Amino acid sequence: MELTVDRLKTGLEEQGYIADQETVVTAYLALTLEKPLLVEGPPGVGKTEIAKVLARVFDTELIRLQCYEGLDENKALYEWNYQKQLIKIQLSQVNREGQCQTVEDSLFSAEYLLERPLLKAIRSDKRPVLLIDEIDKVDQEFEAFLFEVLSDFQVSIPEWGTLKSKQIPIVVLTSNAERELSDGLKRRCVYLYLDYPTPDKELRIITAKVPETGPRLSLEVAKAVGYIREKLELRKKPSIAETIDWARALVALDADRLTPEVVSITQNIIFKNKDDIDTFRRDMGPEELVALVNENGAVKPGQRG
Amino acid sequence: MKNVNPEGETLNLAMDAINPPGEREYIENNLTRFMHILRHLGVRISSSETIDAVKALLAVDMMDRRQVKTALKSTLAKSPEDRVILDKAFEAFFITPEQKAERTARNRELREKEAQEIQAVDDELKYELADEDQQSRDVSVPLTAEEKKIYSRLPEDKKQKLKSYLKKQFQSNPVNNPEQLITNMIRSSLNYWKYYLKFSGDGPPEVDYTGDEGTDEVLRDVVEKLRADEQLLYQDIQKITETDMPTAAALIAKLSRKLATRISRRYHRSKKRERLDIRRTIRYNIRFGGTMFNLKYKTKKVQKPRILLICDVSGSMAKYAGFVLQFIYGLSSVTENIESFIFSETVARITEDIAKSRDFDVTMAEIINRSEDWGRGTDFNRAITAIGDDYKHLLSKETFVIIVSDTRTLNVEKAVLRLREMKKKVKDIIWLNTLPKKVWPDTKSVAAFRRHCRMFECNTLAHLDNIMRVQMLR
Repeated sequence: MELTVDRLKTGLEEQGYIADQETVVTAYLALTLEKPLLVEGPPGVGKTEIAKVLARVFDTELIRLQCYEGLDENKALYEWNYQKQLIKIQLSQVNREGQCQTVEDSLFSAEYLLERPLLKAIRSDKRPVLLIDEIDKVDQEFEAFLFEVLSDFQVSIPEWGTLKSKQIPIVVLTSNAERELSDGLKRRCVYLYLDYPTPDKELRIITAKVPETGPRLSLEVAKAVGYIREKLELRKKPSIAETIDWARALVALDADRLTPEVVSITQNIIFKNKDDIDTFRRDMGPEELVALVNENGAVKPGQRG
Repeated sequence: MKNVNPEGETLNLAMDAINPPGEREYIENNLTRFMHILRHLGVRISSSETIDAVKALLAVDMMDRRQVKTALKSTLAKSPEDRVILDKAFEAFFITPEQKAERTARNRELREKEAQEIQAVDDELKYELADEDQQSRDVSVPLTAEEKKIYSRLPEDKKQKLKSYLKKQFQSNPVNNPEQLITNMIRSSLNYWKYYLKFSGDGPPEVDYTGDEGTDEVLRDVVEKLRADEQLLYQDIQKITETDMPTAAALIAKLSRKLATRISRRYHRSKKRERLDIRRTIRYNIRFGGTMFNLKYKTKKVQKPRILLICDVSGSMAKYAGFVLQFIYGLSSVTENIESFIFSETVARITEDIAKSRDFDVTMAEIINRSEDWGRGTDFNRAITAIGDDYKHLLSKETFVIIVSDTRTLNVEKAVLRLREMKKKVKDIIWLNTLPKKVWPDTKSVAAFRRHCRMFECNTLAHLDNIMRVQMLR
């Protein structure tokens, strides 16, 4: 089946991922050009979700490499199962059966190899989705190693020789832009910046994820979160997941629209630290938020870049 | 899934597909010109990315403007900042012929007006001079076009002042060739005004004008739009108004957090190596009869870097005081291990005041009330000596020193020596200089201090951001 922009969009939507045109086109380009997709943006806007959804759309395995400071090749590519090798050596000493050579050969067979995500993606039979999450957390040496792997999709294991992947995996890299990635890595990728959704998009997300929220409440929640992100200088802006949680909480409280009281008792779901709650209470407050939301049905708060 | 051909072939194919052969060169030219413009706007594009862009254009619907833009964006602009630039450049470059004609006309008008202004300056700065033989002749001051432009933008009273000064000079100097002497004087005065007025035309965002009219037109258009939108970022920090301050403060806090993480990252990267912990390994493996079954490693403790912040709050820096304080405050709220000092003639430690984690306004009001350092002269030598003597324990190989100052100080030579000594004791010294880079060559102290630290120009938030993103990686 030939992949087109529209098909991809439908595919994503069927899996419950609401994406705007830009996201779909960029993902489509990454797939068509067979390049890694580098997704940057603030936390909680659905960066990781893209990879998960792509795996579902193409009905394939999702291989995830979670990055952290100090991650090295052993943890990312492969490692020999040292303990198992040791047992084998000890056993062969006790039994004194087979010859040295056979023991040595078998010590470096697939049986003793611990596959880590990168190798797994390379050896996979069906084109997998390889998610390299929070790439900005790794050290620069590892980043250099990574883009070597990503450009050829082959690795060499000294005992085995070079392994080349059967097909180029779908690679999704995510980054919170905590650190500037190297030019080399960026050059190899197709770049997508995901920002907080527009109220429109967020409304669609709420409707898709929490269908039991009534149309009026969904709209009000989407607008309220939009205002909160836009007007307040917060330490942590509410993410999409928090919007959804908030909608769920409101449904659980049997609310059919936002009122200052309801906002007041559910504020802890949107604001996750004391400073932000204080900022909200001081600079906006539940009353003003509700007033803003009710003010004008048509006006939508603009998004900040 | 589409098969991707070898690169050369794909390129040709792309050209074929996009246009009939007769017009092939046209779109090719257009695309390369667009990349050219992006590069001049500071977006780094490699040739492999260019090829990607063409391939991407092949893959999308060329009739859909949004898709074309997305294709270019995803392959060429790989940071939020670059995306904004590409956005504006796209809108400025891919326009209808009518819009283009209109823009060209507007530009021409602008340039004509400029030429007129310069001509007017020429006339204004012309003087009649009577030489020894009592013959009068016309003398004009040989200024460059740029200097004339600055002059034309001066406020009226300053112009008058300058003119009367000139007149006096010309009349009271019956030497043979007074032009050169006077020109030099005028020039230095204009130079001052240039920075005072923030002479727009080559200010940030840094743009490389090409000299080609059509291209520069687009560049200018983009720069104008960028300035209008991202005003806060490119504005001189001293000019940020009260109303913009909360937004600016948030930006500064974000940037200082970036600085803090960047420093710590750069720092312990080299200390990462794992080493086998033989003692623990043997002890643990006794249970396996001494077979080294489970290996234990010791990792070096990640040592958080200590930051020593030394900020100039003297008279010459008064305009930047707001920024300096926001910067101290922002940096302090994200790193624990920070010592802050402010200095002018003397030095004061303000670490504790800031550490109390109160509101910015309260903290700052208190510091300002208590300290006597505000707005005085600058004696960096005394400050750095005092820190070296009284706070010796703060200077170690884990310490990053950040200095915010304009380098204008008493006792430059002694201070330089002190700085050199300090440099030996600490990990690194970063100097954020609020003086515009263009006057660095004329400022002796800059050159002297620069030898012993990494100095960056920093008088707009865009600078600070740039330091975090690009400079610190070098």
